[in-house]
Amino acid sequence: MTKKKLSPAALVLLLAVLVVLAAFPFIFNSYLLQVAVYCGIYIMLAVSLNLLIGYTGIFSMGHVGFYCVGAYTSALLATKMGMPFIVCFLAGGLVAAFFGALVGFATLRLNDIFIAFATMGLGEIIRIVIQNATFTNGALGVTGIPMPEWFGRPMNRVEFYYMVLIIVVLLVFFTYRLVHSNTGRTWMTIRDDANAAASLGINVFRYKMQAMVISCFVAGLAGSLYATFVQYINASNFTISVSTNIIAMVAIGGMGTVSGPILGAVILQILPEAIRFLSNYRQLMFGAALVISIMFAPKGLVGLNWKRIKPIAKLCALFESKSGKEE
Amino acid sequence: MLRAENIYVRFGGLTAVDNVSLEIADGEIHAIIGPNGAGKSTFFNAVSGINKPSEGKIFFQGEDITGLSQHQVAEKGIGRTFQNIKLFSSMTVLENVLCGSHMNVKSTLFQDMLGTRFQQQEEKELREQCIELLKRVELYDKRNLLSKNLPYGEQRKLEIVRAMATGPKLLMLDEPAAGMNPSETEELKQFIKKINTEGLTILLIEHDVKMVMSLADTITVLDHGAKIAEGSADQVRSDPKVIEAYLGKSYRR
Repeated sequence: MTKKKLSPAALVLLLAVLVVLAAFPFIFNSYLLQVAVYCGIYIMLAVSLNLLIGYTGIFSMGHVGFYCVGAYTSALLATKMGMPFIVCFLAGGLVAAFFGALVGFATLRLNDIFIAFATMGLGEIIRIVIQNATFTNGALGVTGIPMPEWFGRPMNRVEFYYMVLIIVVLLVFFTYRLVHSNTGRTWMTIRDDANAAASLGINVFRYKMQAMVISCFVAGLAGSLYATFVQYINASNFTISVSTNIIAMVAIGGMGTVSGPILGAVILQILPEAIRFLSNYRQLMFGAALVISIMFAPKGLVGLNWKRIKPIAKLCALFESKSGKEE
Repeated sequence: MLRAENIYVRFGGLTAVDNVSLEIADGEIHAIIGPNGAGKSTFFNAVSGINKPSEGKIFFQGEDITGLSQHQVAEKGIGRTFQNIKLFSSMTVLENVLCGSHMNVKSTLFQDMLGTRFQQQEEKELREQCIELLKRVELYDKRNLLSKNLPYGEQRKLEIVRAMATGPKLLMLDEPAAGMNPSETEELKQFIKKINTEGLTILLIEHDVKMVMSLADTITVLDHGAKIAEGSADQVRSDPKVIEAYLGKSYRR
């Protein structure tokens, strides 16, 4: 956690990325805009799951369950009770966090592999209940979810894109701060060795719960954004394969890093769009990508030694700051 | 400082610790020795809350700490190390020590998330304290190495330093010299002596009898879970029961 100050070149790069993202709707068509919004939603999911898998060492296979809870909470509040978007959005997060706390209370005392099984099962149970309950319209799903309103009119898709962009930027900023603070450090001690952590006075269960609740809150927010954007949700949007996709994003990008899951989410969202003619083999390719990344890049794309390639090394040298490398 | 009264630890039909009582005085180095399987580590774990004693009471500074969980025991002021080194291997030396000072951190989740001035200030002070500590124990030069890349002896040392960062009153060391060569052992001995004279009470499990004899003020000998002798190095060395436990009946004088 040595603090690196951003060099001018890195700042310019960061600004350039932000400018491109801000100008996105003016450059690209609405189809790409939709892909970009999905990217944003999946970045939220991957970043939040990474808090569990990458930082705290809780291998949750049921992340889709909380995403689903957030989406349905938000959708039902908006369609049945006519609540404004901001209420639906926050409620989606809070209800998902509440479910996360329940699931965490039941499973976080278990060992790694059992957590994976238990959360996988619970994720499926949530989906099946929603598919069969009447208040969720069963298999028909929820239709006609309104776009958020502002200035007395519904938001258009471009404005929605900006909203997602701002939320994602804030999320990444907060995540960065968290994992570089005492809280994040404490999570990592639990990942590395829970017994040693406890011997230092760390309440392991409390911190695992904390990570779980935060992660599920963000997943719920992502669910709410998804439901609002596509305006129609159905239990079949939330199968186990969504969970495995998010895990693949985290693993391929790089577990336990801030930038890894972002990269993973963007790549795995754009890749299937770019090779749409192979769409029948999408799951196969995700699987293959996951296996290849685990075999050849166990630390993910971010963890690879890119500097071995000369031009990249030169580029990196340009970005590395000369001052403030170590305090 | 620490008083254990009639501790039993049973795993099913096996009595791993059998009616052990002992008292550790303020400021001493107290060692527990005994052959393999004598119940030393189990006793340690019972004190530090990993497995609860089946019977008996443990008092720390007059306060009953029997059956508290691990982090609660740590909060009372008991630090410990492990027989098989348990460092946070993905972190640097400095970060490991920073984790040790977890209990001194006051900033909350939201302050951490927002990176408030209070949180930044606290983090900075914490870092300075840990760097101070690392300088004192001569690990400062290696502060940015990953802890898993340290040589074995220094990993042991770092684990002790990390436990010291919690600000304990009693430090429990589980076989700190295991796997060390003679010069590393000697260095460790001096290190333990040094932190003891600086005011830490130490409870030590050790196989290296030579080291224990020259280091400990009081030695407790366990065999098959039961306490068979206690006293100064000289008393223990000449105790026939101890000789029998270590060398067998035929060596009994």
